[in-house]
Amino acid sequence: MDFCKQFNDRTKDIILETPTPVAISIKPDRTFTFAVKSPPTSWLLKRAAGVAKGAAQPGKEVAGTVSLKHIYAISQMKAKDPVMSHIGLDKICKSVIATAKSAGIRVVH
Amino acid sequence: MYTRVLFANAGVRSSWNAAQQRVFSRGFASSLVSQTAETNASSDTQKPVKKYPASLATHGTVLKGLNIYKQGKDPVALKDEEYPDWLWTLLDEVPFEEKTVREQQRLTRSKAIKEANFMKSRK
Repeated sequence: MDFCKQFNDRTKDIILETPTPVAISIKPDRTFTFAVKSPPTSWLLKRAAGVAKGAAQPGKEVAGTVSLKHIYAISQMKAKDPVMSHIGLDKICKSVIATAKSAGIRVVH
Repeated sequence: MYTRVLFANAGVRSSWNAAQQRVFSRGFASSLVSQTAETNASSDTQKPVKKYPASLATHGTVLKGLNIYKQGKDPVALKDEEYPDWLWTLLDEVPFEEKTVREQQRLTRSKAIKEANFMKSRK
């Protein structure tokens, strides 16, 4: 209950039904802190490509296409995550491209 | 340059004259390195600068679906020049010869394993 209130508070600016991963750390005395992260990369990629589902057989099928500029925009969102704070934007882009590959989304220039 | 004179065993020393004495001189490689750097810089035109095609997402294209905030808008694609240079290199495939030795070995090994498994699975 406590978590729900705080979570709703922190995410009130986000459009409803956006999947929002959260990392919670709970202390032994049942107090907690949590960090709200950016939506899952594959979800963002599918939205950017305009597809509902990724490819059933990635590598053999292509579900959608996305430009490097989309990748850059997605990486900028990912870079705000606390996990990614020490990783350069170029490495995050590489990571997003790898996610696109496993989702069957083709990346073009 | 630091010059070091080396002598053979004592018995030989007496039979050497000054001209025959071997002088091992040790110098730092800096002069050689700067020479090669100059020649590399002048022959920059030999290594072709790769040209990347113009982005399909032209300037002003709305990148739909990437806005998650109620008060925000979808990001708009900027001009190609406004993106960092490394962005266009991300789709490049590194040829086998230019990969690290570790990566080359990994690929050769996995290929050999797959071939061996295929040969075993044949009936």
